[in-house]
Amino acid sequence: MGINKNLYRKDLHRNRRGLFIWGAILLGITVMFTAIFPLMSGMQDVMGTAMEEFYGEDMTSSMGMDQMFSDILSFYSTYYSIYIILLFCIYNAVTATGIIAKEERNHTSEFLYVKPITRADVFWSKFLVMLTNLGVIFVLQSGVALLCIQLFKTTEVSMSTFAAMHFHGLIIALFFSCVGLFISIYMRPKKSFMGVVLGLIFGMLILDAISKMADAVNFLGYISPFHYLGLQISDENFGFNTIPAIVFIALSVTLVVLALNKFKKKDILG
Amino acid sequence: MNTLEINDLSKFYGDFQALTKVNINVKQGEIYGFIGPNGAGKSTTIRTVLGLLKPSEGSTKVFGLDSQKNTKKILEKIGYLPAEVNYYDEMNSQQLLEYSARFYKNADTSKIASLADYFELDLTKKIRALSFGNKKKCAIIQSLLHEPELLILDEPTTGLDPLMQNRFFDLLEEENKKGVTVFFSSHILTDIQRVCQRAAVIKKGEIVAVEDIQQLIQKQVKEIKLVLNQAPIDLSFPSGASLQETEGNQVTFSYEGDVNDLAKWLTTQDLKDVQIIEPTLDTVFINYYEN
Repeated sequence: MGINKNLYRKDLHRNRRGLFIWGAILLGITVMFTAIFPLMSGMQDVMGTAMEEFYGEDMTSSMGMDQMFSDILSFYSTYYSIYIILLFCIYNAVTATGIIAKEERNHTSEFLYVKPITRADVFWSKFLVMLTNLGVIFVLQSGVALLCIQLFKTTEVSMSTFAAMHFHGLIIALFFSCVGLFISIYMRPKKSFMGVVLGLIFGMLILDAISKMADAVNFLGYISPFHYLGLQISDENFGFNTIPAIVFIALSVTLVVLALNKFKKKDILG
Repeated sequence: MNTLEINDLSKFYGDFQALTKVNINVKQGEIYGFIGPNGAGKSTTIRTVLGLLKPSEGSTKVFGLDSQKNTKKILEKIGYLPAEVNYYDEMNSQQLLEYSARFYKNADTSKIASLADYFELDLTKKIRALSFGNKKKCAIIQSLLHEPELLILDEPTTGLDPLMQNRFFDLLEEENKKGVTVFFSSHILTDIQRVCQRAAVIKKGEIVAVEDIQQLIQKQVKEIKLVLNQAPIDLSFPSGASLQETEGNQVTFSYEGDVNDLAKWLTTQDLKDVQIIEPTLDTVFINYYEN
């Protein structure tokens, strides 16, 4: 595995604007969701009834909103499992789809691939940029969330539950990023893969939510990573799922290896 | 040893065959032309040599190494000038050239300023603000910074004004004198005629001829214009003459054959003036394509 520092630095610099904008949005909503908890706590009865009337009991329960006002971690978890994870996954998957395909889309591939570096060097350098972005956003968002929870909590919170939820989120985002990278190598470089990525992530999240609404549709959740790496701490026996985590990391590695093999052999059309 | 060898190279895009058994050998220190109209397969051949495209059949060797297996090693010593210049819009020329140079072990970034000065390129302008010609100048500079041993040029003069073209050719000849081999692909025949010693002619993905440029021209039909001292009566033309026309004491005909035979025939005529018009490479090229 060869990392070309020149390419890595340049690509990191090139992606800084997206990282800054998406990072700012994620940090902003993290602060906002945790900061409103003191105002909302103690409203479980009123808000719970209102939500059940609006969404229905099954949907409220499936989205973890039935216990959300009981403590700050439950409150944060409800928002994390819908909004924050969506933005986190979308940003990373979109970055992953563009990290290599963008060179072909912008016709700069001819410039880059005639430099004395192997295709594998290009792939790993860009993959590392993708991982760096993922890591930076994860650390910043988790750090700010932890800080805000400590600031706005009204009762003690379980750090292991917080960590389990965030590491599940990280593995899901990593998986979708690798899916994005895989798609971008196997499909012709289009204008943007945003539609495909949004459809995939929203689809998986909604399938998981529907699957929790009734036993008869439980099977729908089996194809969604959200089913195996739960983000709602209100679920019974919530904790870090080691085996699904290993499986999804292994799946991610497989997708990366398949993408690399294809990338090494494909024609660069400029 | 040949610097560049292309052996039985074929390339398919699905059912479409872009190249058919292309064979080219470029000797070390040579300026080798590659002539063909747009879409004939010139860029496909070059992109396969550079490892951007994978050959369907055949092989390409650079410096004796298989260019598909030793891409990194050979690219260290190749300077490539693409036909279409696409760079990172957000960079300026200086940043782009420095970024490009950092990929090479032996790139000399101090040459950036002198070459930019030579080609009158403003290094502070963003790539997105450069005209096609200025992008081309930037591409020429980036192809030379690492002292390449082989220059692969794809339509290098497109977009350059005549003054810059002259400077470019001067620079090319200077590089060639230093021992740099040049593979010069173009559809502009006067460019090929100006600098190349040999050239391959490609037509619909197939090499139809590999010729010494001078021989290529000499082989072609010449136009002969004579002014005789007296209007000729029953003039017998040399063998190889065609399209004969006589008007008073002026005689014109086309000639294809040994120039010595023509010279001998001319000495038997009572000449006032003679003009032997060499075909341009364009004529030669058209002949290849028509035949």
